[in-house]
Amino acid sequence: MKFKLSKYIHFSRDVDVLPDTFFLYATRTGTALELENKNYEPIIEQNWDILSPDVLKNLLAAEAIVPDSENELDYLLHQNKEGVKDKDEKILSFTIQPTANCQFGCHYCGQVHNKLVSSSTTNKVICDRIINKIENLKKTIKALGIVWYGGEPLTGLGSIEEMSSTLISYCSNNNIDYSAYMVTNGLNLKLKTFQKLVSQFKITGYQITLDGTADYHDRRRMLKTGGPTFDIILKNLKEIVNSNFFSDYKPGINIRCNVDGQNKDNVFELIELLDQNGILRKTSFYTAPIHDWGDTKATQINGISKEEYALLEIDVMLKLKELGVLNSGIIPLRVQNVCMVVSSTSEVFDAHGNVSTCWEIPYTPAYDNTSYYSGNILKEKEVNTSKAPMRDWYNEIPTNESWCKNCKFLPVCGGSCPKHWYDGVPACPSFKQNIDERLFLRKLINIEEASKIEESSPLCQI
Amino acid sequence: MKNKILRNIIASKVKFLPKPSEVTILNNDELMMILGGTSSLCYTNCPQNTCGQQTCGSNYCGTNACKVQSCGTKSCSSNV
Repeated sequence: MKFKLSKYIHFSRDVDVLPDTFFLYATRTGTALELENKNYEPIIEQNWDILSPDVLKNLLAAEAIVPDSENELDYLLHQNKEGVKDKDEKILSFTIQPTANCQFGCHYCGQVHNKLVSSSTTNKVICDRIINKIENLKKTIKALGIVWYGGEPLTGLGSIEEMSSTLISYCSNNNIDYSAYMVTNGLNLKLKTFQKLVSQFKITGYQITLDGTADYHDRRRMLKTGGPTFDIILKNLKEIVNSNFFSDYKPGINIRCNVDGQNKDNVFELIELLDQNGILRKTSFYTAPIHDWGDTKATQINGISKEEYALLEIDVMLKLKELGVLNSGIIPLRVQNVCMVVSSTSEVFDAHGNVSTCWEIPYTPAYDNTSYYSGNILKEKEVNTSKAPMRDWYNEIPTNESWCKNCKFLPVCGGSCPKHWYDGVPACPSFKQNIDERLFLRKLINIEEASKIEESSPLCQI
Repeated sequence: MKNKILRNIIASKVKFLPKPSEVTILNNDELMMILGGTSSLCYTNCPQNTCGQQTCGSNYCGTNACKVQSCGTKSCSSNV
Protein backbone atom coordinates (compact mmCIF):
# COMPACT_ATOMS: atom_id res chain seq x y z
CA MET A 1 0.00 0.00 0.00
CA LYS A 2 1.19 3.53 -0.78
CA PHE A 3 1.31 6.03 2.06
CA LYS A 4 1.32 9.82 2.32
CA LEU A 5 2.02 12.37 4.99
CA SER A 6 -1.22 13.31 6.73
CA LYS A 7 -2.40 16.89 6.31
CA TYR A 8 -3.33 16.84 10.00
CA ILE A 9 0.13 17.34 11.41
CA HIS A 10 1.96 20.24 12.98
CA PHE A 11 5.76 20.54 13.12
CA SER A 12 7.52 22.51 15.79
CA ARG A 13 11.25 23.18 15.85
CA ASP A 14 13.58 25.43 17.78
CA VAL A 15 17.22 24.50 17.32
CA ASP A 16 18.33 26.91 20.05
CA VAL A 17 16.27 24.98 22.56
CA LEU A 18 16.36 21.44 21.24
CA PRO A 19 19.31 21.17 18.86
CA ASP A 20 18.89 17.44 18.18
CA THR A 21 15.14 16.93 17.93
CA PHE A 22 11.87 18.35 16.63
CA PHE A 23 8.20 17.88 17.48
CA LEU A 24 5.57 16.35 15.25
CA TYR A 25 2.01 16.68 16.54
CA ALA A 26 -0.39 14.36 14.72
CA THR A 27 -3.84 15.73 15.41
CA ARG A 28 -5.71 12.71 13.98
CA THR A 29 -4.78 10.90 17.16
CA GLY A 30 -3.67 13.80 19.36
CA THR A 31 -0.22 12.26 19.54
CA ALA A 32 2.81 14.47 20.06
CA LEU A 33 6.09 12.89 18.97
CA GLU A 34 9.63 14.07 19.54
CA LEU A 35 11.90 12.84 16.78
CA GLU A 36 15.58 13.00 16.05
CA ASN A 37 16.47 15.65 13.46
CA LYS A 38 17.68 13.11 10.93
CA ASN A 39 14.04 12.09 10.41
CA TYR A 40 12.83 15.55 9.45
CA GLU A 41 13.76 15.61 5.77
CA PRO A 42 12.60 12.04 5.01
CA ILE A 43 9.24 12.82 6.61
CA ILE A 44 8.77 16.08 4.74
CA GLU A 45 9.86 14.41 1.50
CA GLN A 46 7.73 11.34 2.27
CA ASN A 47 10.75 9.14 1.83
CA TRP A 48 9.51 6.39 4.09
CA ASP A 49 12.15 3.79 3.17
CA ILE A 50 14.85 5.78 4.96
CA LEU A 51 13.04 5.78 8.29
CA SER A 52 13.81 3.15 10.91
CA PRO A 53 11.10 0.57 11.69
CA ASP A 54 10.60 2.16 15.12
CA VAL A 55 10.01 5.64 13.70
CA LEU A 56 7.77 4.29 10.97
CA LYS A 57 5.74 2.29 13.47
CA ASN A 58 5.17 5.37 15.64
CA LEU A 59 4.26 7.59 12.69
CA LEU A 60 1.73 5.04 11.46
CA ALA A 61 0.25 4.57 14.93
CA ALA A 62 -0.03 8.34 15.33
CA GLU A 63 -1.65 8.53 11.88
CA ALA A 64 0.96 11.02 10.77
CA ILE A 65 1.33 8.67 7.80
CA VAL A 66 -1.90 7.53 6.17
CA PRO A 67 -2.98 5.56 3.09
CA ASP A 68 -2.36 7.59 -0.03
CA SER A 69 -5.85 7.05 -1.39
CA GLU A 70 -7.59 8.28 1.72
CA ASN A 71 -9.71 11.45 1.67
CA GLU A 72 -8.72 12.55 5.13
CA LEU A 73 -11.47 15.11 5.69
CA ASP A 74 -14.16 12.61 4.73
CA TYR A 75 -12.58 9.94 6.90
CA LEU A 76 -12.26 12.26 9.87
CA LEU A 77 -15.82 13.55 9.66
CA HIS A 78 -17.10 10.01 9.22
CA GLN A 79 -15.22 8.98 12.38
CA ASN A 80 -16.75 11.91 14.24
CA LYS A 81 -20.27 11.06 13.11
CA GLU A 82 -19.79 7.41 14.04
CA GLY A 83 -18.43 8.46 17.42
CA VAL A 84 -21.41 10.69 18.08
CA LYS A 85 -23.80 7.95 16.94
CA ASP A 86 -22.12 5.43 19.20
CA LYS A 87 -22.33 7.77 22.17
CA ASP A 88 -25.95 8.66 21.39
CA GLU A 89 -26.95 5.01 21.60
CA LYS A 90 -25.32 4.55 25.00
CA ILE A 91 -25.49 7.85 26.82
CA LEU A 92 -28.28 10.39 26.94
CA SER A 93 -27.32 13.90 28.02
CA PHE A 94 -29.61 16.79 28.84
CA THR A 95 -29.17 20.26 30.19
CA ILE A 96 -31.93 21.60 32.42
CA GLN A 97 -32.16 25.28 33.22
CA PRO A 98 -34.88 25.13 35.90
CA THR A 99 -34.87 28.80 36.75
CA ALA A 100 -34.61 32.13 34.96
CA ASN A 101 -33.47 33.71 38.20
CA CYS A 102 -29.95 34.76 39.11
CA GLN A 103 -28.68 37.07 41.85
CA PHE A 104 -25.74 38.26 39.76
CA GLY A 105 -25.43 41.13 37.31
CA CYS A 106 -22.37 40.15 35.28
CA HIS A 107 -21.81 42.48 32.34
CA TYR A 108 -20.88 39.66 29.97
CA CYS A 109 -23.97 37.55 30.58
CA GLY A 110 -26.42 37.54 27.69
CA GLN A 111 -29.38 36.39 29.77
CA VAL A 112 -32.21 38.52 31.15
CA HIS A 113 -33.34 37.18 34.49
CA ASN A 114 -36.67 37.06 36.28
CA LYS A 115 -38.11 35.12 39.21
CA LEU A 116 -39.48 32.25 37.10
CA VAL A 117 -38.79 28.76 38.42
CA SER A 118 -40.06 25.71 36.57
CA SER A 119 -43.40 24.52 37.95
CA SER A 120 -44.14 20.97 39.03
CA THR A 121 -46.09 20.55 35.80
CA THR A 122 -43.10 21.66 33.74
CA ASN A 123 -40.78 19.43 35.77
CA LYS A 124 -43.02 16.44 35.13
CA VAL A 125 -43.22 17.11 31.40
CA ILE A 126 -39.41 17.46 31.18
CA CYS A 127 -38.89 14.20 33.10
CA ASP A 128 -41.51 12.42 31.00
CA ARG A 129 -39.72 13.49 27.83
CA ILE A 130 -36.36 12.29 29.14
CA ILE A 131 -37.78 8.97 30.32
CA ASN A 132 -39.52 8.51 27.00
CA LYS A 133 -36.21 9.02 25.21
CA ILE A 134 -34.58 6.44 27.47
CA GLU A 135 -37.41 3.99 26.75
CA ASN A 136 -36.83 4.45 23.02
CA LEU A 137 -33.19 3.43 23.50
CA LYS A 138 -33.82 0.73 26.04
CA LYS A 139 -31.74 -1.91 24.24
CA THR A 140 -28.56 0.17 24.12
CA ILE A 141 -28.74 2.88 26.77
CA LYS A 142 -26.28 2.67 29.64
CA ALA A 143 -26.16 6.09 31.22
CA LEU A 144 -28.08 9.32 31.72
CA GLY A 145 -26.27 12.59 32.38
CA ILE A 146 -27.91 15.81 33.50
CA VAL A 147 -26.35 19.25 33.67
CA TRP A 148 -28.07 21.77 35.90
CA TYR A 149 -27.65 25.28 34.64
CA GLY A 150 -29.56 28.53 34.93
CA GLY A 151 -29.96 31.45 35.59
CA GLU A 152 -28.50 30.35 38.84
CA PRO A 153 -29.69 26.77 39.33
CA LEU A 154 -29.63 26.95 43.13
CA THR A 155 -32.43 29.56 42.98
CA GLY A 156 -34.52 26.70 41.64
CA LEU A 157 -33.41 24.12 44.16
CA GLY A 158 -36.91 22.71 44.69
CA SER A 159 -37.25 21.92 41.00
CA ILE A 160 -33.79 20.31 40.93
CA GLU A 161 -34.76 18.10 43.85
CA GLU A 162 -38.07 17.18 42.27
CA MET A 163 -36.64 16.26 38.86
CA SER A 164 -33.54 14.58 40.31
CA SER A 165 -35.70 12.32 42.49
CA THR A 166 -37.81 11.24 39.53
CA LEU A 167 -34.86 10.60 37.22
CA ILE A 168 -32.65 8.90 39.82
CA SER A 169 -35.47 6.63 40.83
CA TYR A 170 -36.23 5.71 37.21
CA CYS A 171 -32.57 5.03 36.42
CA SER A 172 -32.10 2.98 39.56
CA ASN A 173 -35.10 0.81 38.71
CA ASN A 174 -33.90 0.31 35.16
CA ASN A 175 -30.22 -0.30 35.82
CA ILE A 176 -29.09 2.89 34.11
CA ASP A 177 -26.12 4.83 35.42
CA TYR A 178 -27.09 8.36 36.52
CA SER A 179 -24.73 11.29 36.94
CA ALA A 180 -25.23 15.03 37.20
CA TYR A 181 -23.19 18.20 37.02
CA MET A 182 -24.03 21.72 38.09
CA VAL A 183 -22.87 25.12 36.90
CA THR A 184 -23.39 27.49 39.80
CA ASN A 185 -22.19 30.91 40.88
CA GLY A 186 -21.49 29.33 44.27
CA LEU A 187 -23.24 32.00 46.34
CA ASN A 188 -25.83 29.65 47.84
CA LEU A 189 -23.62 26.59 47.83
CA LYS A 190 -23.41 26.11 51.59
CA LEU A 191 -21.83 22.92 52.90
CA LYS A 192 -25.18 21.53 54.00
CA THR A 193 -26.73 22.15 50.57
CA PHE A 194 -23.66 20.71 48.88
CA GLN A 195 -23.84 17.53 50.97
CA LYS A 196 -27.47 17.07 50.04
CA LEU A 197 -26.86 17.71 46.34
CA VAL A 198 -23.97 15.23 46.20
CA SER A 199 -25.25 12.43 48.38
CA GLN A 200 -28.97 12.61 47.68
CA PHE A 201 -29.21 14.07 44.19
CA LYS A 202 -26.00 12.64 42.71
CA ILE A 203 -24.65 15.99 41.54
CA THR A 204 -21.01 15.07 41.75
CA GLY A 205 -19.40 17.73 39.56
CA TYR A 206 -19.54 21.52 39.89
CA GLN A 207 -18.35 24.54 38.04
CA ILE A 208 -17.96 27.70 40.06
CA THR A 209 -16.71 30.96 38.58
CA LEU A 210 -14.32 33.35 40.28
CA ASP A 211 -13.20 36.23 38.11
CA GLY A 212 -10.19 37.13 40.21
CA THR A 213 -9.57 38.15 43.79
CA ALA A 214 -12.27 40.18 45.58
CA ASP A 215 -11.29 43.53 44.02
CA TYR A 216 -11.73 42.17 40.52
CA HIS A 217 -14.42 39.54 41.02
CA ASP A 218 -16.76 41.95 42.82
CA ARG A 219 -16.54 44.45 39.98
CA ARG A 220 -17.49 41.79 37.46
CA ARG A 221 -19.65 39.25 39.27
CA MET A 222 -21.54 41.47 41.65
CA LEU A 223 -25.10 41.12 42.89
CA LYS A 224 -27.73 42.86 40.78
CA THR A 225 -27.86 45.38 43.61
CA GLY A 226 -24.13 45.94 43.17
CA GLY A 227 -23.14 44.10 46.35
CA PRO A 228 -20.01 41.96 46.64
CA THR A 229 -20.06 38.16 46.30
CA PHE A 230 -16.44 37.01 46.45
CA ASP A 231 -16.04 36.55 50.20
CA ILE A 232 -19.22 34.49 50.47
CA ILE A 233 -18.23 32.18 47.60
CA LEU A 234 -14.71 31.75 48.94
CA LYS A 235 -16.07 30.92 52.41
CA ASN A 236 -18.44 28.35 50.89
CA LEU A 237 -15.61 26.79 48.88
CA LYS A 238 -13.27 26.63 51.89
CA GLU A 239 -15.88 24.93 54.03
CA ILE A 240 -16.72 22.43 51.30
CA VAL A 241 -13.26 21.35 50.21
CA ASN A 242 -11.93 21.17 53.76
CA SER A 243 -14.83 19.06 55.03
CA ASN A 244 -14.64 15.35 55.78
CA PHE A 245 -17.62 14.95 53.47
CA PHE A 246 -15.56 16.22 50.55
CA SER A 247 -12.74 13.80 51.33
CA ASP A 248 -15.17 10.91 51.60
CA TYR A 249 -17.30 11.55 48.52
CA LYS A 250 -14.61 13.11 46.29
CA PRO A 251 -16.91 15.25 44.15
CA GLY A 252 -15.24 17.34 41.45
CA ILE A 253 -15.11 21.12 41.49
CA ASN A 254 -13.87 23.12 38.52
CA ILE A 255 -13.05 26.73 39.22
CA ARG A 256 -13.41 28.85 36.15
CA CYS A 257 -12.06 32.33 35.66
CA ASN A 258 -13.57 34.36 32.83
CA VAL A 259 -10.82 36.56 31.51
CA ASP A 260 -10.64 39.82 29.62
CA GLY A 261 -8.37 42.84 29.59
CA GLN A 262 -9.64 43.99 32.97
CA ASN A 263 -8.70 40.96 35.09
CA LYS A 264 -6.09 39.05 33.08
CA ASP A 265 -3.15 40.02 35.28
CA ASN A 266 -5.07 39.24 38.45
CA VAL A 267 -5.49 35.55 37.55
CA PHE A 268 -2.15 34.68 39.17
CA GLU A 269 -3.10 36.36 42.44
CA LEU A 270 -6.34 34.39 42.42
CA ILE A 271 -4.46 31.12 41.90
CA GLU A 272 -2.21 31.93 44.87
CA LEU A 273 -5.16 32.88 47.03
CA LEU A 274 -6.90 29.61 46.20
CA ASP A 275 -3.74 27.75 47.12
CA GLN A 276 -3.32 29.62 50.40
CA ASN A 277 -6.89 28.71 51.32
CA GLY A 278 -6.41 25.02 50.62
CA ILE A 279 -8.74 25.10 47.61
CA LEU A 280 -6.47 24.86 44.58
CA ARG A 281 -5.15 21.37 45.24
CA LYS A 282 -8.61 19.95 45.85
CA THR A 283 -10.23 21.43 42.76
CA SER A 284 -9.20 22.15 39.19
CA PHE A 285 -8.69 25.60 37.76
CA TYR A 286 -9.05 26.96 34.27
CA THR A 287 -9.55 30.22 32.45
CA ALA A 288 -11.78 31.12 29.52
CA PRO A 289 -11.85 34.31 27.47
CA ILE A 290 -14.96 36.48 27.61
CA HIS A 291 -17.04 36.14 24.48
CA ASP A 292 -20.08 37.87 23.04
CA TRP A 293 -23.22 36.18 24.29
CA GLY A 294 -26.46 37.29 22.72
CA ASP A 295 -26.04 40.99 22.06
CA THR A 296 -23.80 41.86 25.04
CA LYS A 297 -20.86 42.92 22.86
CA ALA A 298 -18.81 42.08 25.96
CA THR A 299 -15.63 41.62 23.98
CA GLN A 300 -15.76 45.26 22.94
CA ILE A 301 -15.65 46.51 26.54
CA ASN A 302 -12.42 45.05 27.88
CA GLY A 303 -11.77 42.45 25.23
CA ILE A 304 -8.71 40.27 25.08
CA SER A 305 -7.31 39.31 21.70
CA LYS A 306 -6.82 35.66 20.81
CA GLU A 307 -3.06 36.18 20.74
CA GLU A 308 -3.05 37.87 24.14
CA TYR A 309 -5.24 35.17 25.64
CA ALA A 310 -3.09 32.39 24.20
CA LEU A 311 -0.02 33.90 25.87
CA LEU A 312 -1.88 34.31 29.15
CA GLU A 313 -3.02 30.71 29.02
CA ILE A 314 0.57 29.46 28.86
CA ASP A 315 1.49 31.72 31.78
CA VAL A 316 -1.41 30.27 33.75
CA MET A 317 -0.25 26.73 32.93
CA LEU A 318 3.26 27.64 34.07
CA LYS A 319 1.88 29.02 37.31
CA LEU A 320 -0.13 25.86 37.91
CA LYS A 321 2.95 23.78 37.10
CA GLU A 322 5.02 25.81 39.54
CA LEU A 323 2.48 24.95 42.23
CA GLY A 324 2.46 21.30 41.19
CA VAL A 325 -1.16 21.16 40.04
CA LEU A 326 -0.82 21.04 36.26
CA ASN A 327 -1.19 17.42 35.31
CA SER A 328 -3.04 17.17 32.03
CA GLY A 329 -4.68 19.05 29.24
CA ILE A 330 -1.53 20.50 27.76
CA ILE A 331 -1.63 18.75 24.41
CA PRO A 332 -5.14 18.67 22.94
CA LEU A 333 -6.50 15.18 22.34
CA ARG A 334 -8.86 13.91 19.65
CA VAL A 335 -12.37 15.36 19.78
CA GLN A 336 -15.24 13.57 18.11
CA ASN A 337 -18.11 14.98 20.09
CA VAL A 338 -17.47 18.70 19.82
CA CYS A 339 -20.62 19.87 21.55
CA MET A 340 -24.05 18.66 22.54
CA VAL A 341 -25.46 20.38 19.46
CA VAL A 342 -24.03 17.65 17.21
CA SER A 343 -25.69 14.89 19.19
CA SER A 344 -28.97 13.59 17.80
CA THR A 345 -30.45 13.24 21.28
CA SER A 346 -29.13 15.96 23.60
CA GLU A 347 -31.52 18.76 24.45
CA VAL A 348 -31.77 21.85 26.65
CA PHE A 349 -34.91 22.57 28.66
CA ASP A 350 -35.79 25.87 30.31
CA ALA A 351 -38.35 26.84 32.95
CA HIS A 352 -40.84 27.93 30.28
CA GLY A 353 -40.84 24.44 28.78
CA ASN A 354 -38.84 25.58 25.76
CA VAL A 355 -36.57 23.07 24.07
CA SER A 356 -33.33 24.09 22.39
CA THR A 357 -29.96 22.46 21.79
CA CYS A 358 -27.45 25.03 23.05
CA TRP A 359 -26.96 26.44 26.56
CA GLU A 360 -26.74 29.99 25.35
CA ILE A 361 -30.28 30.09 24.04
CA PRO A 362 -32.59 30.09 27.11
CA TYR A 363 -33.36 33.43 28.74
CA THR A 364 -31.30 35.24 26.11
CA PRO A 365 -33.59 37.73 24.32
CA ALA A 366 -31.34 37.83 21.26
CA TYR A 367 -32.56 34.32 20.43
CA ASP A 368 -36.27 34.82 21.07
CA ASN A 369 -38.36 33.70 18.11
CA THR A 370 -35.41 32.14 16.33
CA SER A 371 -34.96 28.64 14.95
CA TYR A 372 -32.64 27.88 17.88
CA TYR A 373 -35.84 26.98 19.73
CA SER A 374 -37.35 23.72 18.53
CA GLY A 375 -40.61 24.20 20.38
CA ASN A 376 -42.31 24.19 23.77
CA ILE A 377 -43.19 20.92 25.45
CA LEU A 378 -45.96 22.52 27.49
CA LYS A 379 -47.71 23.88 24.44
CA GLU A 380 -46.92 21.41 21.67
CA LYS A 381 -47.52 17.70 21.52
CA GLU A 382 -44.55 16.98 19.30
CA VAL A 383 -41.28 18.86 19.64
CA ASN A 384 -38.62 17.56 17.31
CA THR A 385 -34.99 18.66 17.69
CA SER A 386 -33.57 16.45 14.95
CA LYS A 387 -33.53 19.35 12.50
CA ALA A 388 -32.36 21.95 14.99
CA PRO A 389 -29.60 24.29 13.79
CA MET A 390 -26.09 22.86 14.12
CA ARG A 391 -27.23 19.23 14.51
CA ASP A 392 -25.74 18.50 11.09
CA TRP A 393 -22.49 20.35 11.78
CA TYR A 394 -20.15 17.62 10.60
CA ASN A 395 -21.97 17.34 7.27
CA GLU A 396 -21.82 21.12 6.90
CA ILE A 397 -18.08 21.55 7.46
CA PRO A 398 -16.96 20.64 3.90
CA THR A 399 -19.08 23.39 2.38
CA ASN A 400 -19.85 25.92 5.09
CA GLU A 401 -18.23 29.30 5.70
CA SER A 402 -15.94 28.08 8.47
CA TRP A 403 -12.32 27.40 7.61
CA CYS A 404 -12.36 24.12 9.55
CA LYS A 405 -12.25 22.05 6.35
CA ASN A 406 -8.72 23.25 5.67
CA CYS A 407 -7.48 23.36 9.25
CA LYS A 408 -4.85 20.91 10.48
CA PHE A 409 -6.28 21.14 14.00
CA LEU A 410 -9.80 20.00 13.05
CA PRO A 411 -9.34 16.50 14.56
CA VAL A 412 -8.59 17.95 18.02
CA CYS A 413 -11.01 20.84 17.73
CA GLY A 414 -14.06 19.64 15.80
CA GLY A 415 -14.95 23.22 14.96
CA SER A 416 -14.82 24.28 18.59
CA CYS A 417 -18.18 26.06 18.83
CA PRO A 418 -20.58 25.66 15.92
CA LYS A 419 -22.75 28.40 17.39
CA HIS A 420 -19.95 30.96 17.07
CA TRP A 421 -19.44 30.03 13.43
CA TYR A 422 -23.18 30.38 12.91
CA ASP A 423 -22.91 33.85 14.41
CA GLY A 424 -20.10 34.65 11.99
CA VAL A 425 -17.44 34.58 14.70
CA PRO A 426 -14.41 32.34 14.12
CA ALA A 427 -14.40 29.90 17.00
CA CYS A 428 -10.76 28.84 16.77
CA PRO A 429 -9.41 27.63 20.10
CA SER A 430 -6.44 29.14 21.90
CA PHE A 431 -4.21 26.13 21.25
CA LYS A 432 -4.11 27.10 17.61
CA GLN A 433 -2.13 30.13 18.77
CA ASN A 434 -0.04 28.49 21.49
CA ILE A 435 0.47 24.90 20.37
CA ASP A 436 4.24 25.35 20.08
CA GLU A 437 4.50 26.55 23.67
CA ARG A 438 2.28 23.66 24.78
CA LEU A 439 4.61 21.17 23.12
CA PHE A 440 7.63 22.74 24.79
CA LEU A 441 5.81 22.86 28.11
CA ARG A 442 5.00 19.16 27.81
CA LYS A 443 8.67 18.51 27.09
CA LEU A 444 9.72 20.49 30.16
CA ILE A 445 7.33 18.52 32.37
CA ASN A 446 8.69 15.25 30.97
CA ILE A 447 12.26 16.36 31.67
CA GLU A 448 11.38 17.33 35.23
CA GLU A 449 9.46 14.12 35.86
CA ALA A 450 12.34 12.05 34.52
CA SER A 451 14.81 13.83 36.78
CA LYS A 452 12.52 13.24 39.79
CA ILE A 453 12.44 9.51 39.03
CA GLU A 454 16.22 9.51 38.65
CA GLU A 455 16.67 11.28 41.98
CA SER A 456 14.36 8.90 43.81
CA SER A 457 15.65 5.63 42.33
CA PRO A 458 18.00 3.65 44.61
CA LEU A 459 21.62 3.16 43.62
CA CYS A 460 22.46 -0.16 42.04
CA GLN A 461 24.05 -2.64 44.37
CA ILE A 462 26.81 -4.37 42.55
CA MET B 1 5.54 37.11 30.05
CA LYS B 2 6.87 34.07 31.88
CA ASN B 3 6.35 31.83 28.88
CA LYS B 4 9.07 33.74 27.06
CA ILE B 5 11.60 32.10 29.37
CA LEU B 6 10.01 28.66 29.03
CA ARG B 7 12.23 27.69 26.11
CA ASN B 8 15.32 29.03 27.88
CA ILE B 9 14.59 26.81 30.87
CA ILE B 10 14.29 23.79 28.57
CA ALA B 11 17.47 24.72 26.71
CA SER B 12 19.40 24.90 29.97
CA LYS B 13 18.12 21.51 31.10
CA VAL B 14 18.51 19.72 27.78
CA LYS B 15 22.27 20.24 27.90
CA PHE B 16 22.50 17.79 30.76
CA LEU B 17 20.26 15.12 29.31
CA PRO B 18 21.49 11.95 27.63
CA LYS B 19 21.13 11.72 23.86
CA PRO B 20 17.43 11.56 23.00
CA SER B 21 15.78 8.47 21.57
CA GLU B 22 15.09 8.43 17.88
CA VAL B 23 11.38 8.80 18.63
CA THR B 24 9.43 9.46 21.84
CA ILE B 25 5.75 10.02 22.51
CA LEU B 26 5.54 13.24 24.49
CA ASN B 27 2.01 12.84 25.79
CA ASN B 28 1.87 9.11 26.26
CA ASP B 29 0.31 9.29 29.73
CA GLU B 30 -2.68 11.29 28.53
CA LEU B 31 -3.16 9.12 25.48
CA MET B 32 -3.14 6.05 27.70
CA MET B 33 -5.78 7.61 29.92
CA ILE B 34 -8.06 8.05 26.93
CA LEU B 35 -7.40 4.61 25.53
CA GLY B 36 -8.06 3.12 28.92
CA GLY B 37 -11.44 4.80 29.11
CA THR B 38 -14.28 4.70 26.70
CA SER B 39 -12.53 5.92 23.54
CA SER B 40 -12.02 9.57 22.93
CA LEU B 41 -15.67 10.36 23.29
CA CYS B 42 -16.23 12.84 26.00
CA TYR B 43 -19.39 13.15 27.90
CA THR B 44 -21.50 15.56 25.89
CA ASN B 45 -22.14 18.23 28.42
CA CYS B 46 -18.77 19.25 29.64
CA PRO B 47 -18.17 22.07 32.03
CA GLN B 48 -16.65 24.26 29.42
CA ASN B 49 -19.98 24.33 27.75
CA THR B 50 -21.12 26.65 30.41
CA CYS B 51 -20.04 29.73 28.70
CA GLY B 52 -21.75 28.43 25.68
CA GLN B 53 -18.31 28.41 24.22
CA GLN B 54 -17.10 24.92 24.32
CA THR B 55 -17.24 21.36 25.18
CA CYS B 56 -14.50 19.15 26.25
CA GLY B 57 -12.16 20.19 23.57
CA SER B 58 -9.09 22.09 24.30
CA ASN B 59 -11.10 24.81 22.83
CA TYR B 60 -11.39 27.97 24.75
CA CYS B 61 -11.14 26.50 28.15
CA GLY B 62 -7.68 25.33 27.49
CA THR B 63 -7.70 21.65 27.74
CA ASN B 64 -9.05 18.48 26.62
CA ALA B 65 -8.66 16.20 29.56
CA CYS B 66 -11.49 13.94 30.43
CA LYS B 67 -11.72 11.98 33.56
CA VAL B 68 -13.36 8.61 33.63
CA GLN B 69 -16.32 8.63 35.91
CA SER B 70 -17.53 5.68 37.83
CA CYS B 71 -20.17 4.99 35.24
CA GLY B 72 -17.54 4.61 32.60
CA THR B 73 -18.55 7.77 30.83
CA LYS B 74 -16.33 10.77 30.79
CA SER B 75 -16.68 14.33 31.76
CA CYS B 76 -14.20 17.05 31.16
CA SER B 77 -12.22 17.76 34.20
CA SER B 78 -11.27 21.26 34.05
CA ASN B 79 -8.48 22.76 32.89
CA VAL B 80 -9.53 21.25 31.44
